Amino acid sequence: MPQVIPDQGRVVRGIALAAATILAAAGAHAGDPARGAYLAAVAGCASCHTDVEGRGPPYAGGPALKSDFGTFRAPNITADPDYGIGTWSEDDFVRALKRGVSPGGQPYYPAFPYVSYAHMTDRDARDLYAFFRTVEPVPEAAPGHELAFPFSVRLGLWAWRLLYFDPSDEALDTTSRGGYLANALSHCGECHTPRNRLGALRTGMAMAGARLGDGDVAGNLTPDPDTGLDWDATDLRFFLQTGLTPDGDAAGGAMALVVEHSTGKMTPEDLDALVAWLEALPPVRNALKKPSSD
Amino acid sequence: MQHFVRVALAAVLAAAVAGGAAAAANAPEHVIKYRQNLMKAVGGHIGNVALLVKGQVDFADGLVTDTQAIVDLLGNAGIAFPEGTAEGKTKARPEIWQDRAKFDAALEDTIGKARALAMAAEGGDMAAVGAALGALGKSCSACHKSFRIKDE
Repeated sequence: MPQVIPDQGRVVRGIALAAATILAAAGAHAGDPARGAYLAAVAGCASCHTDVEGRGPPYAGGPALKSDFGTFRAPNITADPDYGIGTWSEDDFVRALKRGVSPGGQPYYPAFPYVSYAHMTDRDARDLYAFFRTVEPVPEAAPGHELAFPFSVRLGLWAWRLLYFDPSDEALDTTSRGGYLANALSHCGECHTPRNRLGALRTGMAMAGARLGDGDVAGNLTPDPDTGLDWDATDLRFFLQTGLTPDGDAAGGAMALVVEHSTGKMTPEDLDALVAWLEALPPVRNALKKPSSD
Repeated sequence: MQHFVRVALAAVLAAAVAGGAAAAANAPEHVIKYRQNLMKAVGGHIGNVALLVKGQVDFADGLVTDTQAIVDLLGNAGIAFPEGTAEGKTKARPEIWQDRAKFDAALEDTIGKARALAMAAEGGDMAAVGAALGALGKSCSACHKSFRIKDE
């Protein structure tokens, strides 16, 4: 008599899905996808995970992110079970986000800003998970990273983590709402804080500006009179909403994406909190840009 | 004799200036300077509209002049990016000439947004002006993202 052997993986996945559905129906600790959608905007996930210029579908994999170590490409994080993160549990997701480790136990490159996300609240992380469950699955693989040796060897990341990743680090303010936005959720420091030669953020120079891997400059946001930003709160707020500087220039580069996907979508309260926090930064001298000729 | 030398010198100088000017018209470095001045001028007017929208000045009487100037100046932008001006002290990306249709469409979009801003300014409703300025800024950013080299 022929025996029907069910595909174990499918059964397990089915049970997991059923359990998740029941859990969601019961409302037991389930994240809030609507709140998660706002958090995904404020965190700017789409800036890296959506190839806007290439007209790629939302969150199905991002454009090239050039760095000193090679070119990173953010993966497909749609709910597709094979090419996205559709099979991830909430714990998998929270661990990936806040600890930078994949469900399979692989460490992520810190191009994924888990060093900032480590300071995210569990509630926000769970709401983000609930939102990403709702993202239209895209059954396509995103192109992988193209990194130079030795950075192409992930094993080295464990050493990097030992040296530079301390989720309990409280060097940066993540408790005030503005500090939480700047240092955790919207991860401004990932571009605006200079890094050491191994790519670790120099927290003593928080938001003092940095040269990016693609030649672009992330400006010094501190109010240093010579090298920093002399914008007032109104200017900052207006720029974060529109991308327009007091000179009437319009941001290009990565900041255009940030305004489009993140700060331009912030609630007035969040914008005010972020602006107030930026205004209160201590001045740090850090000259990055030669006086522009045009 | 002295008079003759002076006349001859003047003639040589005049010829040099005229000839020089004729030879140098539309030299890439001057075209680049032209479009940089043009973009700076557009930015100056946008900055002034922004000052008003932000409530940092209340010179509402100047608004229509600024918004109309943006439309007029952007109308000159098309001629400021001729072939052969990709090299030099410029932040213009070669994609402008590799995909000219896309660049022209992006510029046309920006001009449309500038016209909408000028119309809102004529209407005098500051909320509408603010919204139109935001839309214009977005269009400027989109074009800069695709066609302007990042800061060095």
